[in-house]
Amino acid sequence: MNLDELTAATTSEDPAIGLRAALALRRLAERVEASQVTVARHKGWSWQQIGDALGVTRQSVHAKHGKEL
Amino acid sequence: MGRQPKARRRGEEYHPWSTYIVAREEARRRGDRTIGTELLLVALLCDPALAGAVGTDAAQARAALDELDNEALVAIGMDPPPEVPPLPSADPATVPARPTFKMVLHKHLRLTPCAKRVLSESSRSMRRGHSHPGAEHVLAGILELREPDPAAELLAKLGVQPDAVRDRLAAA
Repeated sequence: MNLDELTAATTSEDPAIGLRAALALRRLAERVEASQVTVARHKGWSWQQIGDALGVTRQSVHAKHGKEL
Repeated sequence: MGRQPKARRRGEEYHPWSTYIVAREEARRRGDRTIGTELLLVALLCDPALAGAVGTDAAQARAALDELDNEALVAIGMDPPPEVPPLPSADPATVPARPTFKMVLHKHLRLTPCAKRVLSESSRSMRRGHSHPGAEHVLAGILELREPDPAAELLAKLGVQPDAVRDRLAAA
């Protein structure tokens, strides 16, 4: 789908649904990020490399994904 | 011999922090970076007594939230919606009724402004020396919310009538 179609789809809808979709996409992004950080760690990537790939510092990526509960 | 220490065992009385922690773990599971009112509702539904009053349970509420998300994604053209598994989080059964500061602050996530209001108003009724403050005060606050608040949308999706739940809580 191109951007025009996406804009048409999102503007023609009820904002309650469109805004929920925005939040749902954020949740998906978080899940993909967390699972891919785990994969990268298993493959031996350093926190520095993961941070570089995500465009954040190694400290912030470690604080967020470093130690599971 | 002066004042006697109060004979009150820690970990027995309910504190809204326990709802916060369960909701935070729900947020972590879903990939949320903030804790909304709908997750406070899921957290309250982990208590079988409240689940009975509402007429649904936490598992159904989680499924309904996933369904709402998928419907919204389909509406903006993501059909079929991608399947990404939920993230690991702590089991709600391990959260005590009255958690320690350390547990509250560990891996902190922010509440949304509305969720914060619901929790702080329930704490205020505790400070006023309410007869038996409990999780039902938080639930009562959530039942007041109106769409498009996410908790109200979740209740609507589950087919729950807030007035009927209020009556059941009052009768209990």
